[in-house]
Amino acid sequence: MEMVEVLKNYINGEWVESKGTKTLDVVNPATLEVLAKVPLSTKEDVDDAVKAAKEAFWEWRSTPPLTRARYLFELRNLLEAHFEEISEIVVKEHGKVLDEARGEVRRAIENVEVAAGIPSLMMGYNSEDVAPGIDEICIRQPLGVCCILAPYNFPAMVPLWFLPYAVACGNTVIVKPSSQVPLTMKRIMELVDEVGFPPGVINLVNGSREVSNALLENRDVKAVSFVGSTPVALHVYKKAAETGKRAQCQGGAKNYLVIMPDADLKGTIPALITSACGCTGQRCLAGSIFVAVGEIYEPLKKALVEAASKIKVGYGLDEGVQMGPLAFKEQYEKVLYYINKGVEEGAKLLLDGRNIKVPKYPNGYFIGPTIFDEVTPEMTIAKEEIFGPVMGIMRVNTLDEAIELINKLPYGNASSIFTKNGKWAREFTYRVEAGNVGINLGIAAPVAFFPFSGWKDSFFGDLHAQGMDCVEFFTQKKVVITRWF
Amino acid sequence: MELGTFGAILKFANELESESLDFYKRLSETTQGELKNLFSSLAEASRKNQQIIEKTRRMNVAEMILETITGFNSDTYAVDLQTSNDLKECINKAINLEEKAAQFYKDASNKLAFLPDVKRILEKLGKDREGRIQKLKGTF
Repeated sequence: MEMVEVLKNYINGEWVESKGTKTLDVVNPATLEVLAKVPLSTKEDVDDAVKAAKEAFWEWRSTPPLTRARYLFELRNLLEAHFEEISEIVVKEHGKVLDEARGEVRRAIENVEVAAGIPSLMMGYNSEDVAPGIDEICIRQPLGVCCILAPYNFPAMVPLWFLPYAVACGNTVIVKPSSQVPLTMKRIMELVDEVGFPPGVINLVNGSREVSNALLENRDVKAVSFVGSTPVALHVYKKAAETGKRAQCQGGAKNYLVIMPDADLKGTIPALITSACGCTGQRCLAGSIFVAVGEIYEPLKKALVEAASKIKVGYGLDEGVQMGPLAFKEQYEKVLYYINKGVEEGAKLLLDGRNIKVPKYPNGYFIGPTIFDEVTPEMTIAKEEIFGPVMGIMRVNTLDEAIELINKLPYGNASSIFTKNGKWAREFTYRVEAGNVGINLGIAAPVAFFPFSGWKDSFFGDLHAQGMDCVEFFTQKKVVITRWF
Repeated sequence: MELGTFGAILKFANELESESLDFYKRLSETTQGELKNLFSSLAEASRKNQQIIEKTRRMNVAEMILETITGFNSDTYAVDLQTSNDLKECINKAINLEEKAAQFYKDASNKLAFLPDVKRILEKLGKDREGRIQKLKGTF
């Protein structure tokens, strides 16, 4: 019988065994094959990583930004060379379909590409004669050791929302991938090793809550980048504040998409389906509630059910498959709970994804597209993040009502409007309380050179992931005032 | 096979070019003179098309708009690519291949119209295939 690999940590340029004795299985959610065992690393492991990162910091921060960028160019080229391989790992451990995994890896690479522009991005500014004979400059300097606590839904992309910028700015980094999907980051870290980053500049510690807390409590860690649920984001934010760390904590979401009476349904329906069912709904930008304004309600409902029932559900490595399983058992059970809750609270089930049969993979965590009608704002499925392919339809009479519904939510991650009317689109953009807004787009996902702008309970912090926000986050400004006698 | 995703369509396009490459390579090995040159050039063109398709699949995948596709099936474009000693029959098969391939690229570009850059690339590949039909008909 083939032995299942127990993953190692990557600390100070070496692959080392965790000092922890417990492990968790990494499971393919379609086949239920155990792919590896991930160690639950200890505080001691974390301390080793922080020590290595701290020791590597001074040499790395004094490496010219252009040289640091060259490391990123090499990493980018290796990621490109292993594009298909990494995409397949994402599918195997997460369950999303191959196209989605490719899209994710593409976005991950884009962040490396953008961060490679660091010589320009990191420049400061200056002003002469701020007082007679006195000049003033503002320079950006790195923070020190930074940590990244990554979620399970984007094992390649989310860590790279932060990592390339952090190291490009001259920081050293410790990544803790999700214990459910650690294999993608393991492979990326092997490429980091192949690039030859100086030991300690980039480290990886596998594990769970204990690792996160040890990183958060360590005063040598100067910044934390987190993506996960709102309660945990808030916990991370508070813990970071206690130890004087910078924090950017992306939380959960409940995204309402508004469909105006004049929306082009031919273009709108595929966008709505992709939004709700892409990555099996396990994305913080997933459309969850569709707010039909006025008379579009009936045709929308009909077209939505028709399109959703055609989605081919299966194993993501089978190329024609359009939606994969939920990423792990607990998430599968959670989604079932919400569907049952929707029924219990009186929403009308138009399409039921429970009990879906995927013949080749009878035990996989599959749930088909599910659509509820007559959803009201008080219902649990209208308020809480489901993270599954579950759509709810609400009906309102005006755009004002739709915006009011959205703005009453505690979350503010994303929202979209579907319309041909520029005035409505502008009004929506202007008033809606969400950080990422889509016009005729189901997934308002900012590209690498724009910030991923969650608002309200969807984000705790000031500076978001990606682009210049990350450069700002991973540097501190130093003002130097000069006078020569 | 149903071509329900961007990746499935591009994979089929790649297979189509791969089969074309093999077919024309086999024909070039059994012919002489101008025909040999024509078949060699068509094989080479398919090899280049494969590179374009692979690059498109990797570079033009837009995670934001990975919309599902319906009503597109690869069976529509199935062709017989067995070669024989009958050259006329082989050229007819080649023409049939090119007509089916041109139609595939036309249909694929319409199905992927939500990715305008991909649409353009597929249209270009379709035009390349249309151009081959005239060349092949010119051999009679």
